[in-house]
Amino acid sequence: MRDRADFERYVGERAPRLLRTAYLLCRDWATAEDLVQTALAKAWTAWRRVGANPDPYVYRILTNTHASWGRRRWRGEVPTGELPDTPQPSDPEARLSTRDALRTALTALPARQRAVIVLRYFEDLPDAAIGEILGCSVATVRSQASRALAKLRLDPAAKSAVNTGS
Amino acid sequence: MTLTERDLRELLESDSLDGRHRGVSVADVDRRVRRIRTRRLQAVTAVAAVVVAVAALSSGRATPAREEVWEGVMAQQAPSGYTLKHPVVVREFAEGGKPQTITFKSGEPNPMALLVSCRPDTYLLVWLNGLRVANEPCGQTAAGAPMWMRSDLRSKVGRNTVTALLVPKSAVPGGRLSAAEADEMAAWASSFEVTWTLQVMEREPAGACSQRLVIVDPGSGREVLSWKCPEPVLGPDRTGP
Repeated sequence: MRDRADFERYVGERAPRLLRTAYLLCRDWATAEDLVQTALAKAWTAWRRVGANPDPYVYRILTNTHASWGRRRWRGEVPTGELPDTPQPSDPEARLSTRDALRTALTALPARQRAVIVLRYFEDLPDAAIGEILGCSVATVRSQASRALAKLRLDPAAKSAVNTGS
Repeated sequence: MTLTERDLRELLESDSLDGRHRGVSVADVDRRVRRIRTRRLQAVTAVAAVVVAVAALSSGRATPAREEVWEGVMAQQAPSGYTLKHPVVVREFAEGGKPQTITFKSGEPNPMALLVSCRPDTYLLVWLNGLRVANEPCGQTAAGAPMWMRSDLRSKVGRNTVTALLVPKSAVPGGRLSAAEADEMAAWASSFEVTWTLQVMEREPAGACSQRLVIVDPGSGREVLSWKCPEPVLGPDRTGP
């Protein structure tokens, strides 16, 4: 049975990483701390039911809570639509501005698509695990990822990876 | 320039490293747990208040005001109605299948209510001073809230004991327990995880401290509202078991 010491160890080890994931979902450190505290508090109230690996359960609470907060209140995010046309590769300043544009486009993604991108490219989770966390099928994860990458104007090679689920 | 998957990974990695934050500790999480539980408790109490108000309205009968009123009560509720005043003891539990006991003191035999917030898939047994006052599934209130409430109880002078046992509905064959089975349930029920609360509330007949009590000065004809609410006579038992 999972106990209090187990939970404290989990918080100590995983909270920093969870905080980074939460930040990538909401792009605000204070909100990210709120999200992680809420996710861990909910996880603690169900700790005995959580299996040997609490990560999927905690990630599910994290993404669900973020989505529900997004529905409930506006958090200062400004969708900007499609990413602007990409500039020439030789220009370092242009590269910086491209990263800014990518960042902006990431912020503009719908919560679910952003969650897919963060879980896949930051947490390196396989699509099946992402589907379990988000409560949807692998096919839905891939279609959400495909749409997100299209909005981010990512390399076709990256997009093709969507279809193979890598 | 074409953006690659690697660019995306690098961006996510570097953006989330910029940690202008203080982190999340176990103490932070504990505080949040307390807040969540307090909010749940407040929600339960609010629902209970609505249930009680509905019960009072449905059971109370308005009596007409006398024609030649110079002093008296206008449109007072019948004594069969009741109102809950405030919780005397509120306790939250995180485990079912195990009898939980709370105590409180009473200066005199006093009308009281017991309220349990529990999941609709559970079955409840409650004893007040050794007498069984509940043997039924949860979630039976008129408001449809997952809770159980009984408001026709009376405390005894001195120390009172409330023992409650919550078991899964699936553990109750046929959906109901006989009196003998109910008393034996505590011995063989097994523990399971569930969050539930037990509240003892002080109760008084509607009209004893009614907002509709009106006193009219016969000389001036001026109305004077009276708010003569007695001091609570129930209180938490601080002497321990």
